[in-house]
Amino acid sequence: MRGFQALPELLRLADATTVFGVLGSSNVPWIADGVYRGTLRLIKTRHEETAVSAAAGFGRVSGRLGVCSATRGPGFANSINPLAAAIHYHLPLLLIVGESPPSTDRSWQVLEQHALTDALGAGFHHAAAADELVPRFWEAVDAVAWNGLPQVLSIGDGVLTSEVSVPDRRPPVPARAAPPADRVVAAVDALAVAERPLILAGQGALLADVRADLERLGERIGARLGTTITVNRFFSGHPAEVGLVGASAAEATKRLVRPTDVVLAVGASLNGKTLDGGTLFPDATIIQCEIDPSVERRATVEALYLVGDARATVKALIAEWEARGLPDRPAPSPAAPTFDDLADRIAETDIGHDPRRGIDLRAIYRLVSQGAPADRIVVTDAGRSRATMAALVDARDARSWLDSMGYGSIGLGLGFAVGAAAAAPDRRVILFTGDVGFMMSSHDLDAMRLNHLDQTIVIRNDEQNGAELKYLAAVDLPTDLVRQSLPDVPTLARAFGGEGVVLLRVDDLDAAWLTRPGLVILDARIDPELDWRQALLAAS
Amino acid sequence: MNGYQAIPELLRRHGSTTVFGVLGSSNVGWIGRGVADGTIRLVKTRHEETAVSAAAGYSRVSGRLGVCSATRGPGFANSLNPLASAVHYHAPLLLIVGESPASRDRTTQDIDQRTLATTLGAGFHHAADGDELESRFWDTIAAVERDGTPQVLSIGDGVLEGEVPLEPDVPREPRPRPAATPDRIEAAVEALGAAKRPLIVAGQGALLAGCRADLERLAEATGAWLGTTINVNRFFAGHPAEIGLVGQSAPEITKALLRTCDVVLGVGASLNDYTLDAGRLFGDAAIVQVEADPEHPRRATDEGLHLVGDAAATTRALLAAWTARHPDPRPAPPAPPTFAELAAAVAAADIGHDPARGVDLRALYAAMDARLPSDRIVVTDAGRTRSTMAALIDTVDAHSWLDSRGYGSVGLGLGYAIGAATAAPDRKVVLFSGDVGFMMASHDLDAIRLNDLDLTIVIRNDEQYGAERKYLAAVGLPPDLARQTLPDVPALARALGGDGVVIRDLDEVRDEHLAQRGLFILDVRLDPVTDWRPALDRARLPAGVPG
Repeated sequence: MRGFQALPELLRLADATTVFGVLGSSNVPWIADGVYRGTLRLIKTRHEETAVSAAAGFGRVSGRLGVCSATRGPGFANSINPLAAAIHYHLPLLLIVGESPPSTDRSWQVLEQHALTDALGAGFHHAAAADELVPRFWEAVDAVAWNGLPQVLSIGDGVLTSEVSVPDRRPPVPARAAPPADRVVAAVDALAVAERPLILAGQGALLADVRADLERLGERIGARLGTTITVNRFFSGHPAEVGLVGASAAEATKRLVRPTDVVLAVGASLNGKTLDGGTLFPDATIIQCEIDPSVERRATVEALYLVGDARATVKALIAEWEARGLPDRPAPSPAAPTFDDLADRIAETDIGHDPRRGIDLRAIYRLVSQGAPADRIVVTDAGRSRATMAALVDARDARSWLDSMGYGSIGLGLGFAVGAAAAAPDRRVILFTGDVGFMMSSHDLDAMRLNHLDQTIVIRNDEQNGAELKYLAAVDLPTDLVRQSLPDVPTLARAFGGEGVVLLRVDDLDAAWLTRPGLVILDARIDPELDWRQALLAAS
Repeated sequence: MNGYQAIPELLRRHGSTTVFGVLGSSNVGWIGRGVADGTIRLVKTRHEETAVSAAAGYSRVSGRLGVCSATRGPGFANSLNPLASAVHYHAPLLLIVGESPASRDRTTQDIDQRTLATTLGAGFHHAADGDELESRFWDTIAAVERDGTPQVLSIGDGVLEGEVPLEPDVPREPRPRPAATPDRIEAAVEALGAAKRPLIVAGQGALLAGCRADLERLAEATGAWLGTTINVNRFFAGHPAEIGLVGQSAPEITKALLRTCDVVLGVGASLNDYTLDAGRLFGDAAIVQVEADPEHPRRATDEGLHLVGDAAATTRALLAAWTARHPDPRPAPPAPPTFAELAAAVAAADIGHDPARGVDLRALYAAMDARLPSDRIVVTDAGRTRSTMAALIDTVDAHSWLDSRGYGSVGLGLGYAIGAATAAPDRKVVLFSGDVGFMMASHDLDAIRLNDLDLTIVIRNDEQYGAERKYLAAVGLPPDLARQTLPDVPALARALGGDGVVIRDLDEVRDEHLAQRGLFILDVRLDPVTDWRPALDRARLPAGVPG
């Protein structure tokens, strides 16, 4: 077969059935071939920014490889911001592009794609000739699977029209290594003397799909179960779950986890946010399970740094615990408040909300959490008004709770939501976004129409660049500059075949909007004066 | 003063008062200070892609530096495509960003901005502390002015809050603009003197140097035709010796004339494959190249004909040397067909258009050319439907004819048009965009509303990725995948405070549509099947018109 037929065939073998993309000269033949043969579904977006974010959202919700494609040059350049965001979160996705600078094609779409990708920190695999397509493809797919780092597959000039031979099955998946036995022993030594252990799951735990094993380990060692913000709701519903741990956690949660004496971090980078600038576990022993030996070490001693696959590591820890005949430890006490208990306390805390200024955002969060279907998928864009959402809006698991913030980029939430809607067409996707992030990506409201997707968007509309207010206030400048209204959102929604409504009061929120098919946009005018984070502090 | 005040003050001293941008933590302070003090006008966009393109468009129309700002990290990453495009076109703009990776601030917005910028080919200047700010600023300005390459100015952590010493505000020494060396000038004059059919081709460098009048005088002395690259279409508008567009996108009528040229003087033109039509246009001609950047690829046919120097100074030196040798001007060359004659021929060529399938794109252009005010500014986005526009829509000069294509990017036209509308609020600005490019940038239709601008948009709507059809056909696949409709465009326009109309027949375009203030969008449903480009090749002049 020829290269443009081989690529869809390889994607089929990789169990990738959906590609998000913007068509261009360098990708339209292979995408079209896959679509016409019925092995590939193309979700068209209006901008590459959305396509890459959508692949990240799709990967998160489905647990499968997120695939996206941009054409070479400008298409690739438009992919850089969401690619950088996906790198930050280790969101497993494969971006397929045409070669640039071109080696033999005549094209003006010249860009140093390899150097740019290297500067971002993603992997880059270039199939320069037809016989390199198959090995480079699997190399890229395996690299994504290894630690979730996004990978770019570059298709050389002429490859699509050349003969390529594709074996009819995928090569064996590389074995997943457990850490050295002495490190496992050292970790269990530390856990065996722990009085108040905490298991902290990050993105790596989600990628390794190790929830059940971690819960089993937690029950053996009597640990609380917490997560970083990237995998909020990972332990949803477990009696020992303590929820979100880190700078964004509720003060009540921070109080519960501060006495922790041993932290077992699994697939979590333990950055300044998770450790709350070092204030959360100043004296605890930290055991770090990490697949990538180059990640910055946070383990208290070298012997507690366990390099290996998360699932293999957790299984080895359980096996060592059981081999020693250690008894199950009692469940942690006092019991942590349930999600709803804590959420209600946060929502009811007085932080000076004045209904005349606008809606209390917390009330919207609670109404959605209680009124939307239980199997909903919630997505949040970045921004100031996101602060309390992790504590107020529940979802059934971490694959149903998506945060697009990445490295502090706004506007990528819509793409995540497009990917979520494509991954789970029979579930309701609800995107929460600020007014600025909403407008930044509003061109791809059209992706809903083009691909017949369903989604409710709740705009946390404070009619300003809310996060920038404090920087003006800090230098005594008037804040008018950061204020601006949105356009007419209901009319905008109708232009894209959807519906929209302006919410001036909480009571205006009709639960029917949370299930109505198609695109629904709720422009919620929230109180612009409040610092919502205060609610997290005050709820203790 | 502190850094917040120093940046607006430096911009004021340079004469730059308009900033296009998206606010973020790392730029809101200095922009806020400048706006509060009345030294800066901020034109807000919804996406950094638009802000950078708008600075490029503003610069083109106003002839001044385009200034834009993005916040560090994601804001900068969102700027890369328009920055790469501006690098390609040498659009003189300054992008001011906060430092990233952060050296002192606590932020997650880390990205290797220096490597990204320099990989694109833009300049990068970092002011690590307050003492460096002023010198870095003027370094950046000098680099933009040298050859129009966009420059990034990175403001180090702490600079805004810290003390920034500024030198006294005295007029800056004009930058030296040397002409090429005298031996090269003589060699070029020698070549021009031997020419039977000389041609002057002006590119972006000629526009940046503002040397139209000098080049026209040189043409009048040497008996040369005056042509332009596609970047500076209409640079010689109205001159009797102007031959119009030179390059692959020129009508065949023009190309036939160009092939008779024996000496080509390229001024500030890269003389790339498009301009030389892959070597087909000037097979045996001697090529003299005037270029500001000694690093630029050499296209001169002889090293002695490669003239490194400022375009205006070199042109004047050429004229002086010519006049010394040839006191009497050469006779004017045969008059090429006028813009109107060429346009009529292109519009009339038979390329199989069927009115039952939709509007004839050429008739659309002709109607706009006839009906828009003469001081119009036109902007085109990239795409297949752009090919005949340069031959069909006229403007008063090259500062009024903008092409956002860059390195083949769609979607940047709206930004250019926003910049144009900001630079010339009293003139009619019309953006022509394909349906795909239109949607890609449609978030920033809102910039029209936010900044009270006037812009008319004509969507060349063929309901498909027109350019991708041929790549499907090349591998024997049907074009269905490349097709999609637009949303309800009039509703979209109304949501953003404007208005719009769907045009299925050109008779439906009313005068009040074209006179509308604010945002107005014409969604013109084109014949999607016809390939418009062959009109350039098949156009024939009626009997009696020279050429």
